[in-house]
Amino acid sequence: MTSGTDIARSFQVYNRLTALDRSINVVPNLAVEWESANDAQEWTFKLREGVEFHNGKTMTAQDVLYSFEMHMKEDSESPSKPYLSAVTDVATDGPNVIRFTLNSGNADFPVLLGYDYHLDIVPEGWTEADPVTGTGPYRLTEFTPGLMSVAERFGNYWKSDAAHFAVVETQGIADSAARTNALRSGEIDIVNAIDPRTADLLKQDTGLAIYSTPSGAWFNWAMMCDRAPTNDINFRKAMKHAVDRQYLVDNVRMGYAVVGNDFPVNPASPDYCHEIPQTAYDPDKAAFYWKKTGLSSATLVVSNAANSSAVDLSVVLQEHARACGINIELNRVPDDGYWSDVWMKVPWCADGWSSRPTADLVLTIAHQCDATWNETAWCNERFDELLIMGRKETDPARRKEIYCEACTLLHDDGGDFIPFFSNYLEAASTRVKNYHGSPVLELGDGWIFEEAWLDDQA
Amino acid sequence: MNERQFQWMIGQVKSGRMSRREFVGRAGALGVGVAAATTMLSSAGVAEEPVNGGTLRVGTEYSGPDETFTRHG
Repeated sequence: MTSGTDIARSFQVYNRLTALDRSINVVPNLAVEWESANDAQEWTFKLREGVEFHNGKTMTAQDVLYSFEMHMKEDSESPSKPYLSAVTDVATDGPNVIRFTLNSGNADFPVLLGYDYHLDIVPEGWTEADPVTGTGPYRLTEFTPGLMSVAERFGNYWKSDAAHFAVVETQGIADSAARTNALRSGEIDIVNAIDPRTADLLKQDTGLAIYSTPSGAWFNWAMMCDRAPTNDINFRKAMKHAVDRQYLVDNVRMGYAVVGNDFPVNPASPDYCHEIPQTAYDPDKAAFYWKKTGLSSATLVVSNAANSSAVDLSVVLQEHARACGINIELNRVPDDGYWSDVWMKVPWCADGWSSRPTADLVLTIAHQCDATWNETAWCNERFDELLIMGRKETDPARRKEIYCEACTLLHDDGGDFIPFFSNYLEAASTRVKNYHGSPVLELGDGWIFEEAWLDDQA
Repeated sequence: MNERQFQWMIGQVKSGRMSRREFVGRAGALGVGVAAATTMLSSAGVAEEPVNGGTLRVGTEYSGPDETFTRHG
């Protein structure tokens, strides 16, 4: 599950142990209550009773145990593996209690279980060869990868007063203009990632509502630190100084974004480090570092699969870099296959990430040494130590210092080039009622499938 | 519009004796459009009642043959 479409479907079909509300508070989900002991190293969750899977089976602690073991087993390639690496033991205690033991305290462990969209609960013994089976509000009835999924309201969903649609159809529409057209013509009710340049136009359509939600979603160019030419720190420093970030915010994202500084913790986070100097467009500096690389040109691979503005952003980078004497060749590739054939394969490509609710989750997912999605192949022992320290630190001031040091390492040396953090920009028909954007993930972090409904009358 | 009549009708909706739909219908008969009637209700603090049914059609930004709905590995 790497794409927004996959994530949207996971919210329809599955539940997790906890959930995050729009203020990023942890709320009960399949777990009704929880407590920690031993300096947040031991976490006990009491499970909701009477929850039914789509196959009719009643959920027990055995299913939860199985679901977590899938991510943690030795040969697992789960992107959640780095998040769960601190878990040394998962055990049931009767049919309705599950207990996690960590090798080091984590005060925000319940946040992880609510946020990580891979940590869905499936029935014991389920494999990928089996029909998709969860406890979620909708039951999958049709799925054609790359085209469309259809899910029907699950009659025995444990929340009887939620999930109001009879059917949810989900389709991926890679092209942003095509997506917007499908919305305007009434073929689609809600779309994510609208082109910010069309937002003002769409606002004039009385049948549509625009949802702009500040988030920590970061758009980036990933430079892999384990191979040439991006393993040269001079290359990375040259590029980071070669674009006017505010220009990208104002002219490509039309102000629906805030400038970034090459570390993925966003300025609204309590753990944001204000002391790190902002890297600015500086043609002299960029030229200075570029000269040291000895290169005559560099190739950037790009597709709008990476993020909805990836091509436009890269064209601006190319222009601004040219003024620094840097020749960037853009290699535009098809959207299909971008994640399997380009991302984490080529030295330099575009990418984009959804927000994550804590600094720990943001820094761990793509920058911890052995993270499955360590897209820049950057590995720093001190950084990994700091992640562990931050997790168990309960004093906010001390924790902020820890993250400041970690973000400084990334800012100075890392392969992540983050020009800005973008708002989530979504548009929906006014038929869709009671929808609210969430700073966590698009589609209201899945709450749309619980809370919203369609009304053609009002 | 007869303000007193609307206040009475809003009271009826709040106490559950009149549905939102009926309110909107009656407001229409009194020359008040759907949007204005809905606003009247929401500014009076009447929560909207969910409507069950229908097909929500979601279009998200990425699609490809490597979509992995069931990948949990």
